[in-house]
Amino acid sequence: MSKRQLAMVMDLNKCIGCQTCTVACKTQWTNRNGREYMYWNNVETHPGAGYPRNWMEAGGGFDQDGNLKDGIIPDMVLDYGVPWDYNHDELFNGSLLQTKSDLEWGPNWDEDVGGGEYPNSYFFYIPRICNHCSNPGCLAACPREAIFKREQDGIVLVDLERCQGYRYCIAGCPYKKIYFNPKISKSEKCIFCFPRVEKGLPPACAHQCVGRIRWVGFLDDEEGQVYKLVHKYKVALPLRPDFGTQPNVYYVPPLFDPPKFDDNMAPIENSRRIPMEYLELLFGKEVHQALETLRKEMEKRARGEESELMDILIAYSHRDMFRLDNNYYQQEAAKKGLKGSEFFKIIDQRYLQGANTQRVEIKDYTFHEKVLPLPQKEKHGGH
Amino acid sequence: MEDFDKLYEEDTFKEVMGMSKEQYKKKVEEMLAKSEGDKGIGHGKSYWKDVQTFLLFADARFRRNKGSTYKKAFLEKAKFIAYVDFRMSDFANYADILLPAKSHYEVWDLRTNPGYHRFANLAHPPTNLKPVGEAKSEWEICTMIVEKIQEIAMKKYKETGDKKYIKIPDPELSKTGYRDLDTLVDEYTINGQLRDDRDAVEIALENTDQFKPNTIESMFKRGGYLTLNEKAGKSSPLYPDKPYNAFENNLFLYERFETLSGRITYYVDDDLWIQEGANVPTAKEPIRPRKFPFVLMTPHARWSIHSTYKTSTLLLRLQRGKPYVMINPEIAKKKGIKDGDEIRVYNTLGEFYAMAKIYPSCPKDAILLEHGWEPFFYKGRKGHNEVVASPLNLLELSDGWGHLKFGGNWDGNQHAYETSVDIEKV
Ligand code: SF4
Ligand code: SF4
Repeated sequence: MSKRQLAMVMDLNKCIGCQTCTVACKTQWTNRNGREYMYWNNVETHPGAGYPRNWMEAGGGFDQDGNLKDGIIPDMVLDYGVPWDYNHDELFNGSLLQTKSDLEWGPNWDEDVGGGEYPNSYFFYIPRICNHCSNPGCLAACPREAIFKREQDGIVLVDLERCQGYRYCIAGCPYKKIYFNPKISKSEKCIFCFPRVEKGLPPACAHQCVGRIRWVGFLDDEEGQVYKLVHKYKVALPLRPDFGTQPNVYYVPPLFDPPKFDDNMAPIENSRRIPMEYLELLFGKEVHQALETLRKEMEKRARGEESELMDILIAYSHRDMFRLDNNYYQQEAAKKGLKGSEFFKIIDQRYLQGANTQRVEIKDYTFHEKVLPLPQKEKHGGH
Repeated sequence: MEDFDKLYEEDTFKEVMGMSKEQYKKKVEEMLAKSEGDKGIGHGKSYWKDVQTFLLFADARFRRNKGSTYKKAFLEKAKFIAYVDFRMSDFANYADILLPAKSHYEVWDLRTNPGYHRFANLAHPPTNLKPVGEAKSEWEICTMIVEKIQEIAMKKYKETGDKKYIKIPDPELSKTGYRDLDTLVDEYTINGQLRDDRDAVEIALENTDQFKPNTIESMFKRGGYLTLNEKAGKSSPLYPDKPYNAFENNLFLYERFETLSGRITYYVDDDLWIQEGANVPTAKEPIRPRKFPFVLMTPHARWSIHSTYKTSTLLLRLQRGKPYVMINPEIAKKKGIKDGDEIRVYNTLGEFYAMAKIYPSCPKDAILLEHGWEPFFYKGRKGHNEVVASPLNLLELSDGWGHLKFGGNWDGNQHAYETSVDIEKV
């Protein structure tokens, strides 16, 4: 456990699946250098296979006794989908616009598909980033101890100098939110935009979010809206808590779905299209209580009474939604007597050193080998 | 009209419209005869019959509402096409001259939409931006065209001494009755003040009452926007501390609406509207042929603005990368179509090919296809408009009655749910 923990809350009732967050992340971090296929932030339709395909069935995480479970590495072609390119250059000569490779699967392949039958079909979106877990499966799985969790804010990062590209972390993460970079043969993942966060800006995905569905702050900051949503009102829940990694991204579960229609196309009162079992699978039993609280507070507000919870969920102002504890990082740096460009050295020396890391030559390049058994821990020590 | 004839069934059309296809066509001819020319000869909706030279800006015209008959007719008529765009759109291939433009975020511009909100944003090129190839802003392109026209006209005039090269008759739109090509550049650029995109923004800020008092610098200081002043409220006063509510002027302050009665008008006793039984708002059955089982619905795309940005690799990777048609699971099963299969969509008018996506939210009597795909995305360059005839809604042609006038807001509409198709696995 880190000293403090940054967290994000996402209100699924307001996500419109626009992928602005995905694009914000992609253009900032992953449109180059072997990261092209990675979506550190993706938005997927549920129920659905998601990205990478069927990640929920891909293993990893911990069992009841806290033992790491076996997991698989998703297939590049069938599960992640190879990012396709186009013949844009040939358009000038009157060519059709075509992809240069076959289309098999992509990060949003089953957009809006969901479940049910017309006219009672249903779907909702889940945006996903790395959960910066308190008990990270990726970290536990790494035999090189190349993955670390920052003391100051709990952000989980890969020390690229130590990483040898074994990819056990990918098998170990039950959310499949750590990726193998084939160009440098090392693992990379969402960094919670720490260079932005340290300057007082929220991660790009949260800042750009059109639906204003995301809150960012420290979990122990009792004045912060993140704390209130997670701990005070308990309406924000971790995704798949049964995976045992103690995620730090929390979701306000979907309360609103249209009522079902009967055979005469009349709405059936008090009916729900999204099955509660599915919400339970995603968010655990707590989802009932969370939805109940949301409903009650909404009714309160409808009667014209005050509701702090509703005020928070309306997301009036970025200033309140993103509370990075004014100057927390500056103070941490000051304690160590650092300033200016030394600033970044406070917490992520290990990550920054990795910027010029050498490619690892992997002899046994078994991407296709599916189930990775648990590795033996190497002795901590030199490279 | 050819397409109209081919697609629509006489019976269905007559039943819905209360007139035969022949009668409809005759009516259209009549209305067109009334309308030709700048002001509309008989004061109908203006249209220009004999245009042969086109200067088009960002207009992927063959992806818009008509199929190959329209394309053929247009290309036969157009003797010369100059096309300006920041991307290689499908239409760019048909141009005689392509003029590369800078994109929205490489130029100076003011973006505003009074009526929805009370702000204007400043778009400006990022510092140190290097131009892509020879791309220029649309303002610069127009200035250069105007300069060339004047240069050529002056040369001819000097060679021949004949004034006809610099005095072009334009009885309808020019106050003097002529276009003076010897002073064209001065006129167009307001004596050199208005030559490019940045000039345009500065002049707009200086001269538009609603923007005052503002300059580029003052907008920068505020983070790139200005607040429109109280003069900008077109249909409602602008209060410093209240949001804009459209039509407050008319609904609460008792100003007239721009209608015959001065009120919101539901009743239109224009001859044509009466004839069509539409003098009060009237829902009608769709005119689409009944022999094809699926209505083709083309909802707005998620992230493209019609075809703009449709070719973005980044965004295309966030869907299926090429045109896909959404089909109800039960229908797909009946037709032996699996998710990802290539299917043919067709009717009497034509066909196009796309990928099938099985989609539970699709009704059983419809197929869904996001709009905005350009023909060059499809096999054989045959886009989804191959199956569409797009006859104008006659009501759109009536004129000279109250608010039914030709003007900037006129946008000739067609019929809702106008086409039906069948599908098969390829
Ligand atoms: S979500 Fe996965 S990659 Fe992120 S910290 Fe948790 S286990 Fe590691
Ligand atoms: S930007 Fe916000 S609303 Fe849009 S998909 Fe992402 S999380 Fe959802």
